[in-house]
This record gives sequence, structure tokens and C-alpha cells, in this order.
Amino acid sequence: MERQVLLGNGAVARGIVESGCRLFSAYPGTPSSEILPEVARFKAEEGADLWVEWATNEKAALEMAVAASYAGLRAAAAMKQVGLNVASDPLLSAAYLGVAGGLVIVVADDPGPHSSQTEQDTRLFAMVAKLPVFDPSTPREAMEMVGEAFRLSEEHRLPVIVRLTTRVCHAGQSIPCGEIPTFDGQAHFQKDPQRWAATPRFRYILHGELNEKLAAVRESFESSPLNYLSNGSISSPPDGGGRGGGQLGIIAGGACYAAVRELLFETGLVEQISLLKIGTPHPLPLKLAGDFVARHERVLVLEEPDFAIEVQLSDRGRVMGRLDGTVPSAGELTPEVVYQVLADVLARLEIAGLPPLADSRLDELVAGLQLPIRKPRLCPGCPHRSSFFALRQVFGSRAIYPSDIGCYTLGSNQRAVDTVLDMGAAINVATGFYHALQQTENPPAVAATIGDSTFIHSGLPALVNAVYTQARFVLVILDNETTAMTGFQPTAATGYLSDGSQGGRVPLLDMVQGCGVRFVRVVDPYDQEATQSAFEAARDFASDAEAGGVAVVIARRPCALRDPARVRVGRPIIADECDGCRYCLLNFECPAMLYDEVKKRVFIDERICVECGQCVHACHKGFITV
Amino acid sequence: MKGSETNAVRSVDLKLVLAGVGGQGVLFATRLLSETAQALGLEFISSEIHGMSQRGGSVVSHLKIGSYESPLVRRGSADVLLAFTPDEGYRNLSFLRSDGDFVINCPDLESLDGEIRAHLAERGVKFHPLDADGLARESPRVANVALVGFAVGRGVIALPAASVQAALESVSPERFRALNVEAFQRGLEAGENIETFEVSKTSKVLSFTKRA
Repeated sequence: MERQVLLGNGAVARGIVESGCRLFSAYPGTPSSEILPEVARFKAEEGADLWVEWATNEKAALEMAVAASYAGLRAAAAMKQVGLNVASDPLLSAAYLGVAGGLVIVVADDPGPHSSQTEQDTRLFAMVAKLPVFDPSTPREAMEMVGEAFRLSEEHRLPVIVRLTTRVCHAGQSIPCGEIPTFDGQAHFQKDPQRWAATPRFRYILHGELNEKLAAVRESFESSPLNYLSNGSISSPPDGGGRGGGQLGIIAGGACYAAVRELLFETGLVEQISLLKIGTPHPLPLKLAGDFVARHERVLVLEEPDFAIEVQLSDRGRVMGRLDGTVPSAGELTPEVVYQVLADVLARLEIAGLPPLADSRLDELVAGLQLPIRKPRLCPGCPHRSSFFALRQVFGSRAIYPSDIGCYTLGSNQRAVDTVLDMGAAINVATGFYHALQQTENPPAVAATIGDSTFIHSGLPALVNAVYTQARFVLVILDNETTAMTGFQPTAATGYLSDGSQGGRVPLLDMVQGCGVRFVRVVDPYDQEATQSAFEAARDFASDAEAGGVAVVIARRPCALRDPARVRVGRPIIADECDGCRYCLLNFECPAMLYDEVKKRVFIDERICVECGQCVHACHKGFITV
Repeated sequence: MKGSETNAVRSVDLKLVLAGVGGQGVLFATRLLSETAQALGLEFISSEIHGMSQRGGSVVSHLKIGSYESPLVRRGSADVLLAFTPDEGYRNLSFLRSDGDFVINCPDLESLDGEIRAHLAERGVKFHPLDADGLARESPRVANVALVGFAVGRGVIALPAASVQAALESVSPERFRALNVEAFQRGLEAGENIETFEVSKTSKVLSFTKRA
């Protein structure tokens, strides 16, 4: 069997195509973004026979997958954890209605969080939806679980969730790649309105059915090989045998299972402490877990990011975990945190002592170096920087700046981002601010920013709402013609598909005008003068007492990383007259502009400067030229 | 011969932390070593962080060769810290175990912080400095590969040089292949021939000894 070095996301993609999935869709979001491109690669390179495409949002991705399942095909959708919030409406309904073809929802959680607005736990979401969830610890296990999930979905006729975490998504492993099955069936939708279009009276019956299905799934999980006592050699495959009893037992799942398992073997504690691995946290196999708890004086539960296993244990008297404060209630369970938790528990139970983890002297010495903190910043040459600079020039410090999810959240460095709530919120938040502040004297202006992909994701209904409710603010759509932050996925505005071919194109200008916006301008943010005058005109339109309304400016220029050839203008020169006032550093905030503490003036870091020449606008004294 | 080499390789148990800044090829180096391990039939698991990094931002990856399931190296347990800049090296020093190997891209050992050097020496950490930027002067993009070659040459990354080079040839994009291989070989050569830097544990004085 051929082996490939794949990330967890690639392993999941492999599991999807090897399971004979026929429709796969996703919306990008770290740490899930690489799943779809890998599925598309297996299609292109090995002829995997399926329809695969980005959706405009997670709800669209899941609803398409649900329909393919209705048509009897295996189907899947993938998203990050907050994407599941967007797709929760179809998810909870689909749980009641059931499936025809196997339906798998892959959701990537982000304990930490590394690049998300919440640390929410998809396993708890599965409990709300009353759906089974698999929780892999490694890429290889993730691939196997995708296959298991399809089988389970078809056996019990309900959607199944595979929950990943960042440390599985972005872990690399050697993955055995098998055959991709060819498709010999047919898509066929068997009409059954009582089920697929069930009214509330039938929903009650379907709820009962779902409860029965879940009970059957729980029973099957009691003997699932995905849940096992892990006390074999670290290099031997896990077996189900062994002990399980004593002073302390540990129940763990996901990435932190792997961390605690390694620690137990490394310290030899595996002789004293038994470890129950849970691969199916919901519905929890209660007999298996309950027996394990009963056989130990104390039980420590390690899971991320919340407490799905712990909360399902019926007798928690001897259980330690997140609920009783033994395990920190927020943040990732890194190997260091696992070590510290275990060290504390072992000390408290007087079982063993673990040496301190940190070399505090070294930490002190390194802290003494005062290494530069590398905070996230917009890249040199980023067109968003020029847009934010213009925005601040026109709207000043009093205006309110709602923004959104994407690279441009970093406009906060230029003080041009005041709120970031969730995908697409900028426009509704701007509308809400307008209506709220209208009730006071002399309200401040509202200038919102949103990216092109985020606008299409969930900004469109918000813009309709703004026009409908006659809100008056300026909306800048930062159009870099791609979904830059997650790795340049295409959007409907350019119409390119995941394989690079041209699909249907829905231009942003048409969308905005179609929403009934009466003021729309398109500008190139690199043309600072034109951008500022467009913002001024938009401000004047929005504030017009008679005819005013939402004014939209589309600031369009390709991402500098995506299209570097169009960036270069010339090397910026900072005149000797530079008096080190730092105005440019504060307002333009380019990583290639640095302050020389000795000469008390600004200089250009030529190693990272991309020579976009935009900083000429950043010095109001005219000391920067190109 | 081949059999014994395979056996030697099978016993590899190595935890690495690779640290640098965006654009330095930290992830490429991780990929290179992963592909090498796979070609040799070794188990491995790696970890990288994506997301809000940008040009000039810190990039760290962990790679564990051997029968591991957790992709993360715990603090104080890395056998090797491969630092593509001194700053990112310092930032990740806490991962390095006592007696571990610190492979670092810097002009020379003297350019490193004296107190930290002395403290690490007391813990038995071995220093392997290489001016990889200087070595790859014509193309700074391949300094990462030179540093990997150096670590292989030093025997710190205990993988056969020929296997790493074969993997390099297969993972390099066509237009960088020749450049990468050249940089790897220059690093390898430097690693095999360079004087060994050892810091005496008792005297805390730097002594230079020729490699036997």
C-alpha cells in the first residue's frame, strides 16, 4: 500500500474519498481549511469520483451534503467549530429527519484558541443535536474514524460528526493510502414527505426515533474497538486487554490522550495507572466508563476543550476533571499542562512525585533578552493597510469602526477596528450602532469593514437588513479577490472553483446594487487620494438628512501575497529630515518600517519591504518618497 | 550492509523542535525530514501551527521520529533544537532537554548570549553553530536546507545523509532542486568537518577540539 506524508486534514480527506463519498463541500476556516483542497487533489490525481466544491458558507455546505444523502449517496461537509454555529440550523433538523446515504460532518475544534473566536466544544454540540461524535487522537485514527462514521451513519440512519482538533488537523503522519472505490450505484431521491418535509406533529415522532437510534449507537459503542484500555507497549498497537483498577485511573480522548499516554509510558507510571481511551465521547458508553470509574479510587478525566465525557459520567463523586477544577477550565491541554495536572494529582493522592518541568533559571535568562514580541500584523504591501489608513484619515478617532473575521481584523493595529463579533457581523453591528446612537445628540459616524469572502458568507442578508431598516453608515468591502487568511480559497465574486476552473461568477458590485444600495464606488486602495475621496463622498451620502442611506465602497486590489508582481513600485527613501515623530509607525503600521532608537528616526527593513510605495502617504510631513 | 543500516535506522528515536520566522522554510524542513523518515520506514508524527502567522512571524514545528502518537514535544524533552534565527532559538530553548543538541544559524558561537550559553553548558547542552546565511549567501532561501544538512553532518539528526538528500530531491520544486541539493551538501560537509564546540562543564570556558 502506498504511503503519503499527510496532515490530519489530508488523512481525513483520504478517508472521505476512500469511503466512496460522492459529494463533499466546505467553507474554509483554520484549522479545517486543508481538507477540501486535499479531496480535490485526490480527485485530480487519482480520479476520485465525487463532486467537490467550496460553499459560500457552512450552512450551504451542510445543506448540500444533506440533499446528496437524501439522494442515497454518501456525502460530507467540513468546517471549523464556529462554522458549525452557522450550520447548526440544518444540523439539528437533519438529526431528527435522518439520512438515506451516509452523512458525515467533519468539524475542527481549536483548543487554545490558536485562530478562533471561541474554544467551543463540538462534542457538546453533538449532545445538543443528539448525534454521535468520533474524537480521533491522531491523523491515522482520524482517517479510520471517517470510514467508521459513514458506516455508523448508514447503519443507524443518522448524521455522524467527526470532531478534530488543531493538533490532529495539523499533525503530519505517514498515511497508508488504499484504493479509491469506483461508483457503480445511482443517485435516487425516494420521495417521503412525511419524513423529509415533516410537520411538527411528525417531528415529535422523529424525536422519539432519534432517541432510540442514539440508544442503539450507545450500545454499539460499549464494545467499539475505538474505546479501549491502553496499557500495551508504546510501540505496540493498542489492545483491549489488560488491567484497569487501583488507586488512580485516567479517562482521556482526543489529542491530550496521546500526550498523557506518552507521559505514562515515559515515567513508568503506566504500571500503576490505567488509561481508558474514549474515541466515541457521545453517546458515551456508560457501562464501559462507569465500570472503569467504579474500579478506581479516583479517576482523572482529560479532554478538550470542555467536559463532554466528564459531564456524562453519572457518578462523579470520585471523578476529577474540568468540573471540579482539577483541570484548567480554559486553554489547550498541551503536554506541559497535562504534565502539571498529573503532577498535582499524583502529589495530592500521594502516589508519586514528578520533577518540576520548567528550568526557571533558563526562563529568567530568556525573559531578560526581551525578545521582540511578534504580534500579528498585516503583511508589507497589504492593500488593507492602505484602506484602513484612508479610513482613519477621513473618519478620525470619533467614528465607530465595526469589523469582521479575516486578515483585516488586524486593522485594529491602525485603530480602525472597534468590534469583531462573528462572521458577517460587521454590517448588522453597524446597523445596530446606527439605530442605537440615533437616539442621542450628535451621534458619531459608523464606518464598517468586511472582507469579500466574509461578505458573501453572511454579509449579504445583513446588507439587505441595513437597507430595509434605513440605516446610514459607510461600509467598506475590502476586496482582495480571495479568502486570504485561510490560504487563498476562491470566492463566488471571482467565480473560480477549487480546481482553478471558472465557475459561476457573482460580482460584488451586482450583489451590492441588488441589495438596493444607492451609493456604490469601486476604488483601488493603492490610489490613496481616490480612496479618501470615495470615503468622503460615502460619508456625505450616508449622512445626508434627506436622501441618505448605506454607502458602500469596494476597495479592490489583489492580496499582495497572491499577486506580488503588481505590488512593486520602488524602494522607499526616508529623508534625513525624519524627526522620529512615529506618526507613520502608529498610523500606517507596516512591519517593514522600524524605529532606530539611536538615530531617533524611522528606517526601512529592506529584507521584508516589498516596495509597494504606499508609505509615502504615511508621512504627513512628506519625508518619505519613492 | 544494507540490512545492518536498516536496523540502525529502525532504532531512531528523535524529538526535534524547528524554529524560525515566516518565509525561512521551517515547514519545508519539517516536511523534508518527515519524507525521509517515511522513506526509511520509520514512524513519525509532526505538528505545525497555521493561522495568524505572517511574514516575519514566529513559525515553530515539532517532529518526533519513533513510535509516538502525540505530535507535540514537551518542554525539556527535545533532543534537538534547530533554530533558523538566534531569537527564535532563544524563544524555544525551554523545549531542549539537558544534554540536548542546539543547532543554530548564527555568525558564530560568540554572538550568542554568554549567560545562556554558560547555563545550557552546565546542563550539558551541546552547541552546533553554523553561519547558514553566509553559507547560502547566493540564495538566502536555502539556508534552511543548509542547516538541516549541517545537523545531519554533525550526526545530531541521525538519519542517513543519502536518504535525506533523496527526499530533498523528491520534495523540492523543480526550479529550486539543484540549489537545494547544493545547499544541503555544503551544510553536510560543514557538519562533517567543522571543529567541535564543547563547553567544559567545570571551567565554563569555551574550548575547541578537533573532531576525531
